[in-house]
Amino acid sequence: MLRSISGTMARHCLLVVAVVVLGLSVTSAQARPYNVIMKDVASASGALRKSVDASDFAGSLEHSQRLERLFKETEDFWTKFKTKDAIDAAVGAKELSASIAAAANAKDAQKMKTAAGGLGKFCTSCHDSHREQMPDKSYRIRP
Amino acid sequence: MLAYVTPGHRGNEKTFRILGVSEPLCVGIVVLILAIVLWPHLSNAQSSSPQKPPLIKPEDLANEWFIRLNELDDWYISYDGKEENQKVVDRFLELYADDAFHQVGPSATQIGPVIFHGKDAIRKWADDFSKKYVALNYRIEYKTRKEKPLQPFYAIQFPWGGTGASTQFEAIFTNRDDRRQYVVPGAVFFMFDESGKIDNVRLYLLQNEAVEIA
Repeated sequence: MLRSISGTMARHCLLVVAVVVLGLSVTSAQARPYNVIMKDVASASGALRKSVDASDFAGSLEHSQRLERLFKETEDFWTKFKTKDAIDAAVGAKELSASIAAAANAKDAQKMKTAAGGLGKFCTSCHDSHREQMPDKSYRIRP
Repeated sequence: MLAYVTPGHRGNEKTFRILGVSEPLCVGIVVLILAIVLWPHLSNAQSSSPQKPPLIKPEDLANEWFIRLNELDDWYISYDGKEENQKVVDRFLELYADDAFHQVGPSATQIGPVIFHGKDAIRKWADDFSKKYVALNYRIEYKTRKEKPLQPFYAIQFPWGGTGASTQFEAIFTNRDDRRQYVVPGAVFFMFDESGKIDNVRLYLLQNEAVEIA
């Protein structure tokens, strides 16, 4: 009798744990707000520039890998709208971030600097089409 | 009692005099007093009676349609990824009567005429249109003679009430997905009801004459 009750309780506990884990994984999979992603991109880009200028390979590796993840988030945001130019810009920036990381990993300062110098054009092309500044200096996303 | 009445004589006819004033003159004075007293009431009654709305020029109504059509790309995506185009779609729909017809050509996946009837159906069209194109610029075609440029609307007053207008235009737009820009000639025919709402609109786009802008 006692064994049967404890077995039922254990099953219930397992079920609760499974639901909690599932809920947490769904929550963590939710996309972050786009302005938060862009602010992170801005800070990571600034940090990468400083690291590259200082030939700091460890720092460059860390920041370029972070940018790679952030541009993947950017790509995911635009993929659901099927907006080719924005997706292309995000993918281009993501791939270039990966090559910066590879150069940093290989401790190739020249290659790292050249690659990092090309990152800005992806930002500019997307911002020209999809970023609009409001009178209060905030930004909104154009379709 | 208004007056002291005395019998009077004009030839053989009997006349009446009031305070020594002849009868026709008395009538005139009474009418004048009544007119002065009643005038404000009459004029008020006139102004409060329902008046017909002033006729809005059909070319102005048609022009407003172009303005609001071009505004259908004027919206933003929220930071959490929502397409916030409802306001511009609502504004576009304000121009239509509840029972309106909106007819367009078939899309790439359709054949035959495509007719949207009623505001819900037209909302669907406007919503799709708003999400499909950016940089909308439907502009009325210029005609120039003797160095005088004009964007002509051909307008009519219907005998059953309401008005109509038509014009030629150039549709300049960019596909939102692939960002390719086109210019396509077209024509539009409007029927407006007496309140100035669109009762029927027929939109023609000559897809065979579409040109991509490089």
